[in-house]
Amino acid sequence: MEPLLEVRNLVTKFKTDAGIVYAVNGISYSLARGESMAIVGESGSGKSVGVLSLIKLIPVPPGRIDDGQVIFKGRDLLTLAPEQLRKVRGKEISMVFQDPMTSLNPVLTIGLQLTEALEEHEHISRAAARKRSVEMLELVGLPDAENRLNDYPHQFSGGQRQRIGIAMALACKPDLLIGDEPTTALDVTIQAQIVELMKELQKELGMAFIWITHDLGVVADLVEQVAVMYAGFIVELASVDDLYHRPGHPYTLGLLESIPNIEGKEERLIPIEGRPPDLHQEPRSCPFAPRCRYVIDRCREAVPPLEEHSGHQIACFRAEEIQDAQRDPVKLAALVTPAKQAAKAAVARSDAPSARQKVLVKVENLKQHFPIRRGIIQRQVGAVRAVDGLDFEIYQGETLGLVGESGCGKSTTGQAILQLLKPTAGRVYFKDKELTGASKKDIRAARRDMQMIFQDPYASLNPRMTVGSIIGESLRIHNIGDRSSRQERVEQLMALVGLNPNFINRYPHEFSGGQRQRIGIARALATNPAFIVADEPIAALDVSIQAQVVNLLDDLRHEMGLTYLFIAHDLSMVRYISDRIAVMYLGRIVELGEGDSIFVQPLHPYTQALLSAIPIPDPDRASRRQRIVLEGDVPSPANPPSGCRFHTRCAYATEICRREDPQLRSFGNGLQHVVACHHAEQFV
Amino acid sequence: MSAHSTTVIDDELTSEFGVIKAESPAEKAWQRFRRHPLALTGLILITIILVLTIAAPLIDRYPPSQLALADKFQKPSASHWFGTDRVGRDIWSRTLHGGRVSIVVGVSAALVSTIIGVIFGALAGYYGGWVDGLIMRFTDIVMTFPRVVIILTVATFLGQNILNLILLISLFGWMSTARLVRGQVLSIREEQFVQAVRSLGAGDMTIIFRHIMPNVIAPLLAAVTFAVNEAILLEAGLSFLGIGVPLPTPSWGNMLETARSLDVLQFGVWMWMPPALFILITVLSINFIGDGLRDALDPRHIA
Repeated sequence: MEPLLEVRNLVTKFKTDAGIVYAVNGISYSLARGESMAIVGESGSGKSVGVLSLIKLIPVPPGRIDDGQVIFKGRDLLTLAPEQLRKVRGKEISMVFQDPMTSLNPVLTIGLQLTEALEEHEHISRAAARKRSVEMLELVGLPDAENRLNDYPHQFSGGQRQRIGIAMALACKPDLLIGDEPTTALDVTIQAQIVELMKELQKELGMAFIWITHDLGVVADLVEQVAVMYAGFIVELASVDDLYHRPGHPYTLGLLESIPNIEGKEERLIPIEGRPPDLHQEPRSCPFAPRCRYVIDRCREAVPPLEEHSGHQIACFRAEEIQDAQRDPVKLAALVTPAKQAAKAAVARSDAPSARQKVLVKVENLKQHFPIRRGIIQRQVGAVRAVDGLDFEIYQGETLGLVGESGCGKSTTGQAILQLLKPTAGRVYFKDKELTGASKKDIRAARRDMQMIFQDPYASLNPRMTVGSIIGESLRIHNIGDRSSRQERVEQLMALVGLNPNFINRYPHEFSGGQRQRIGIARALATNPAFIVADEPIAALDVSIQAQVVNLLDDLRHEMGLTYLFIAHDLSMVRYISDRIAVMYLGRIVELGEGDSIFVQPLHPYTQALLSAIPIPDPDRASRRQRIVLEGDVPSPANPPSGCRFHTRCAYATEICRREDPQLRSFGNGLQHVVACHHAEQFV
Repeated sequence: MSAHSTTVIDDELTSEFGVIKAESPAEKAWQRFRRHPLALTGLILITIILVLTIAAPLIDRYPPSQLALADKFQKPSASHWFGTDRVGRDIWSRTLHGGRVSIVVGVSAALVSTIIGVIFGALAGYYGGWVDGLIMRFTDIVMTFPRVVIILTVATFLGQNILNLILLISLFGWMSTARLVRGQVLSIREEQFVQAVRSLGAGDMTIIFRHIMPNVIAPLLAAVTFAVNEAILLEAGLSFLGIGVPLPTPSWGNMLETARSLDVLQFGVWMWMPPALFILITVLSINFIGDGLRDALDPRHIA
């Protein structure tokens, strides 16, 4: 049968002032009618550009499609006249974009935006178009669709907006739907909703779709084929089961190895060393060679072609050897290039169990409300209860993971502990001294001992200061040492976090994302603090870099005896690095306990849902497990539900949940495991 | 080449070859400035003008205010390079001496007004709330003052001299800088790196002047060069009205004033052209230097 889409040797370049960017370097694949495929890659891998080039959606100039054919239903889209191509876009091939906040026009009603494509392509009446729009919105599970057509995008939540985006893309019943990271901007529970929705839609409508993502886990039980891209090349293309079980390209293998296994945490993560490729050079050798553990001389001489190796298409000279190892660490270790032996496979973690004796940070009934003011005299009309009554302790030497979805108050908690915000109520003790209510001077002095690592490695470094002055700033502020001893200390710190101390006079923009995050870590360590709040320290990094940074944090903790509050939404990483985990929902802690006991026996329905929404990079396990897909969205923290805050989305909610606010209760065998749920007994 | 580009350092490679310690930030800034042809031209021109005006007493050939009625209204010649004015004073000499006054007035008024503007703007933008309200309403009020009329009035009280002129020009010229700085600070204080230094324990003044202000430097430099130009021109305008620099002291402004009469404008081009040209060159040079500085101080800029 003739494929629906056949891409042959597609080449896309960007001509910029800094030279040519080789974004897509000759990719080929085909897709049958009704087939689904994922394109997986990190930023700069060319995954989006490659797909946008299909329907010429890349900006020209600076972009240019240099070569290739895109045969779609028998014609080459690249040679089509603009007028005809326009008829393909939106009708036969449609797209769903990453950010549901910006991909809808904020000043037009969703009804107008939905009917637009229909009127344009199908030439049907406005009434008919509206009717079809309502059908589509119902199909994607938007409640009360008829009445909401006249609403504007801001009146919907992020998850709802992405549903609307999908409805728009489906309106003309396309043959091919392209999702460009459609769930990346969403919370895990909402991501799970959208993935389920896509599965149903494909069953129902039978269209083909391409799902672009950076997360191998998300697509494991969603698509049939996976193409892995690196530096503008497809390096491996296989059916989803094959790819996960017998990866043949070292990059695919590296991606799989750098994701923590949620069933255990004994093994140290194996990061992909080095940094993302520079796309300014014309590729003449294997683009992954500089970072590859299995590199041989041949890899540096020619670009390996994409070739068939037992069912996979792989672009690697050593594909067969690696495939045969079947992810077995011992067999793989034998294949590692001698020069790279040092960084070889699976090192057991030096996980000294922290003696839990001394409380370092103690939080009592912490509340952080942000007033909502209205009118000319700015009268307070309400408050966003970002953090609403927290009690917990952090022990010396442990890592406490704090997880929850966006808006649950986890970052606010970190800032309130460090007194970067002035808590509305409650007390925070650090080393038995009360911070809340301490004088400004005392708090500033205390900051020597408690530091923060920020999420965004771009925004958190002053672009006008050299790396040396950024890292040494806290020494200067606290008058530690003189100029030369400070410089010495900065150089030490740079070496400690794996940066070349010779770069002390460079500016942040000269470093890659992962290196910048190391700068942020060095800055936090400068004054030898006892306690560090890490606020989503890896969320902005590429998958292959995340493992590097997590390993660094883990090593530093053991070397320097640090205590972390590790804030994140990625549960598998939190499990990996944390001793204990606290789960937050709408400003409250709903469950807190040992990482193992939370993962093995989650006692709160919300924790259960969160855990079941973790993308598992293994198609067998992903399809075996029971997914608890939460309905609806997180309610507004300005107006939290009565009783148990989770009852509006909880499958187990009963009358008492609506009335009474559950308190944290202790469970388990002597170890701390507390949960705030009226029905927790039934999960024990 | 692009204005901004990201060059990522290859850690692995460079460390193996043991790179020489990178140049200091100041050296790098000078490298960037040097590669800016207009800025370099501006720097050379302004240096020449400064040397000429500072050395004026040494190289003038007649005292600037020496009357020589016999030589009045002469075209440029070997004895009077730029000619003479209607009372026979040497234009070359007056232009050099006039530059001293105009540049001092222009640069100091611009500096003082910028300092006032930066302080008000930074405080308003950083603290927000009632501090912001108070400062900005005050700014609005000062802005509604008819500047020339007030300077005219006050100058008659305080007396006409250069110091008063500088103070008056700057006291009524800081408002746009304050607004500009406030807007910039308002957005930069929300950046994560500001929160980062706060979490290190930095005080407000460190945050404002060490961390935020360098990020305001680009628009601020543009504002400063405008302020210099404006002050020089305002001095000229006030002198034109007769309340600027008191005669017989020459300034470029009060020399231009002579062009008020039609026959000088038409038939005595040499009398007003030199100060006009010097103002033009000075103003342009300062603009170019400002441009160059903006790029030089931006570490992301690649020349």
